[in-house]
Amino acid sequence: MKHCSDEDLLLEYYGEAPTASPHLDACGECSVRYRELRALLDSVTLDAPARGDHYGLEVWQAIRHRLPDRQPSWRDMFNPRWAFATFAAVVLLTAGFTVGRMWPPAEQAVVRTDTRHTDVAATDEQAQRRALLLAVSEHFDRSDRVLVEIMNAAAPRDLTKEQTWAGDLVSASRLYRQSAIAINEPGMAAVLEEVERVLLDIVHEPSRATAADLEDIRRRIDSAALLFKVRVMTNELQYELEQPSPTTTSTSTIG
Amino acid sequence: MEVGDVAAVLARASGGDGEAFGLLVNAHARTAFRLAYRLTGDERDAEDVVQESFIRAYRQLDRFEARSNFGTWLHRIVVNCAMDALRSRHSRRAERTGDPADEVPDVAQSDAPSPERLAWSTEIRRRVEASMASLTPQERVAFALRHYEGRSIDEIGRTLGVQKSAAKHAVFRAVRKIRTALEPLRRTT
Repeated sequence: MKHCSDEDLLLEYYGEAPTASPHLDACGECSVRYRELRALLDSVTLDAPARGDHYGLEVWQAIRHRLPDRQPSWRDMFNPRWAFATFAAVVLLTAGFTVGRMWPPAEQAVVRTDTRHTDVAATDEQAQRRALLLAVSEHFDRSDRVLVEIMNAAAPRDLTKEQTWAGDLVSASRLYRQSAIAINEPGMAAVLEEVERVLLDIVHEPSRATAADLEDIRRRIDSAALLFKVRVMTNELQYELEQPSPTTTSTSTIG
Repeated sequence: MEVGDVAAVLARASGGDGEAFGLLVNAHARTAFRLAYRLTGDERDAEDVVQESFIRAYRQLDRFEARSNFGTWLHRIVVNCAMDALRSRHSRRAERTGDPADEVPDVAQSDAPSPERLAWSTEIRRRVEASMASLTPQERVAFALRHYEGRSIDEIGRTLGVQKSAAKHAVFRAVRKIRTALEPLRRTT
């Protein structure tokens, strides 16, 4: 009788070539060897250390500033959205060039003498922008707390307190969203809008929320990865606020 | 945009939308970590592998076929990054000792554990870890994919870019080394 090789037994264990089975049933010696191998391999286990719910965010925070810039590829330029953007850019450049060529030289002189005023206006703009970023960052922080309260709430739960917070945040969010659009921050405006929608849902829930009500809101928060987006956006804003502003740099250079 | 809408998320990420790629990282990071840990057996290496894998994935997004499964594609990237990490660890160790990198430590001859201090499972784990450290990167990855991840030999060959027979022999060699390391325990039972 031809006995099983070690390879046969291993393949049998992993279910890769179950041809050894009939022989194992008939051969006591191979059956013992197989049981030993099985006991050995069954004892080889490796549990990965647990990673919490925020692990994805931690990884993202660790790599986001190391990601290379991605420019839309030429293939993407045929995407209607990019095609439109390209067309618009070409029109603007052409118009700018034409207007520049036709503009009277006297106007250019006026612009040069007004440089100081332009600098002051730019400084004001920077300060306003930073004030808005700070306010929105705090707004996201407060929204995060309300969302976390809801995610961790046990049913039945009186949501009156959270609904009052959410109501206040909705009013503020509308203003911030308009300002974000005005300073050309569509990403920020989009997250504000998504948060706003969920906050409104919270406001409109019955004050005495059942398990089903809470589950419904949680599902909406989860499916939009809202907490993740809020935290990424908060971190983005804090990162930007920590950078020295052009105003500060400019002032220190003068000084 | 919801995470479930993978095609839309990928399209935006390919166009340079960092936030969209962040959603993919958030959705796949824990799975990637578990795989990286099983392949490297080291928490810090696994963390590095996860980060490097996502950076590579971001760089190579243009090559990702929209019809494919992002998780499957990422799995292969994590395996490649883990192989690189293991090769680097392997050559560092070889430089340090001046010995061939694939030398098997004589685990069976090492100090006997004190039964009072060590639980049986802890001792098995210790010996398995020691024997795993002696495996070549290919043996280690092939074994981990077969044993912990339940991948077929055929899949392992494709993932590692080697013939099926080479993948099979890598698993055999790994099991033989682990078996040698655990042999003394078997004799004491």
